[in-house]
Amino acid sequence: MITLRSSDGETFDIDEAVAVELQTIKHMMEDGCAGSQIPVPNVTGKILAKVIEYCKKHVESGKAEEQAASDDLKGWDADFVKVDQATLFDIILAANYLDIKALLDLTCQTVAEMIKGKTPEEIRRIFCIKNDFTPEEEEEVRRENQWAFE
Amino acid sequence: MQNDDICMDVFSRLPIETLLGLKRVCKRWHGILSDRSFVQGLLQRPEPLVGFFFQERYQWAGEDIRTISFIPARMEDTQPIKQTIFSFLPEDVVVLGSCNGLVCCRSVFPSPSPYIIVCNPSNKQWTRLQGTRPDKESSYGLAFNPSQSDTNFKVVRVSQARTDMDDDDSYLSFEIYSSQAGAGAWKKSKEVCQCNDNLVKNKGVFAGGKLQWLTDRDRILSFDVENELSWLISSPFPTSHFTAIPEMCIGESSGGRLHYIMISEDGLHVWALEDYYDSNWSLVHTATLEALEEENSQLLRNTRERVSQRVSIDSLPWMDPLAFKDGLLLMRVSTKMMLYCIETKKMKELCNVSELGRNCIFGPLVIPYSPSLAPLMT
Repeated sequence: MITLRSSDGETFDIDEAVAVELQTIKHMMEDGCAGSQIPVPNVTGKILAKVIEYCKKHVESGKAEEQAASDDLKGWDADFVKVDQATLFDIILAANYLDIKALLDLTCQTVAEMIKGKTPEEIRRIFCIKNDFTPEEEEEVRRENQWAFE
Repeated sequence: MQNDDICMDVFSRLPIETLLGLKRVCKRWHGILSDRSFVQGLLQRPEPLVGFFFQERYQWAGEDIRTISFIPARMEDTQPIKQTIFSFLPEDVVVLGSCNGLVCCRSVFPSPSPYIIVCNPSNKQWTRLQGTRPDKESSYGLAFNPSQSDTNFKVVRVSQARTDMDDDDSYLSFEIYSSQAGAGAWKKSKEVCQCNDNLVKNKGVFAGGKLQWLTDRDRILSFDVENELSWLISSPFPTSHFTAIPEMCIGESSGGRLHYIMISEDGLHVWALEDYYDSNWSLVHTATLEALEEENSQLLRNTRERVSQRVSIDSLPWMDPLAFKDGLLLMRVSTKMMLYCIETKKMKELCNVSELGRNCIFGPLVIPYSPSLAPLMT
């Protein structure tokens, strides 16, 4: 058993098999730097709990080999990312810091889907981005990057 | 979305047309999307086919026809033909070939100072190639392999020459322009190819590192651009076998494999080249004319009868495969342009030939286009 400690002091006990899914933790264990509790300073307890939930599910499902199990897992993944935007971004940052490739892949793909087909105004609203172009600048950028094939 | 690396990861999953639109969200995103290493990273991913460039040619006159149509290749919906794709260029051009987002073209004739131009319609950049005047008789091919080198391209010019007055003894010579070598960099290759054939359809298909041209004698001229070696590949099936004259085209699919498509009275057949030197092809797709008609009954009728009627090379084929890329075939059926997906055997009507001009049945230039943001130094 490995114990992880979040930035706000919560502790989580996980099997070694799950811990190695988090590449950052895996390297620490291999290098012998892991003490009794491994601190994860960049990640709060709330997010660490979600990340561990993901890794546990994927380690368990890795043992099953049927196509049906694989489809179930896809459905589980789809539900997993149905969270509010702030949580989703925090999970991305955690997956990046902890080096969990599959989770980073899933969450970045989810954000990409959120962007597809939206106008710049809609995107600014969804991601709370301030438009720092002047109207003239924005028009120039729009004209320069007009997709020729539509 | 504070982290730039994460932004790049998300952006790398979006199609090019979306990325161009995202540039105006904010200055930070504009910066990330314009970043050179980001654009270079994008060049490594395979881009889907977006459509075909179509340019008519007069059967007899020496003039060029200026209009270039873009036919979008979408099975799920229909988009209109566009004819202003190349309006960003300084002059009217004839399209010669396309490779990984770049397009090679030449000035329309007559011209006081004709040029070869390589351009990218997705970012509207272009560059004139110095050092040679293009001509109408030679064939050209554009080779651009972003996984090897993200900004360097080569243009190959194939010219026919006769060894003496005997027309039967002509050979093909090759000149290569390398963008890396700088201005005036046309180099005559030592390689020659004994070949009397004429290079017809599908100019300069780039597949597996080689430029390929279909000839009028059941062969494919292949030129290995890096090693400057030419080779003549035999077509997979002798056309003399048929009663009615079949029609063929070549194209690239499945990550760099050359494909050969034939429409005959026996149906639609697609082969993929397995062994380059042995001219070894494997049949990857086949559909009888009856099967095509059954699957697409709204679009095809009396197909076998009409295909079988073509017994003279001078008569126009009822069904003419024009260009092929990534599993999608553009073909003309009577007066309609159709898109055929070999995986699903489904056909879609894209437009009527009248939308493309009045001269589009004889030997048009048809070139598949997949976009990229490859930069060109102007």
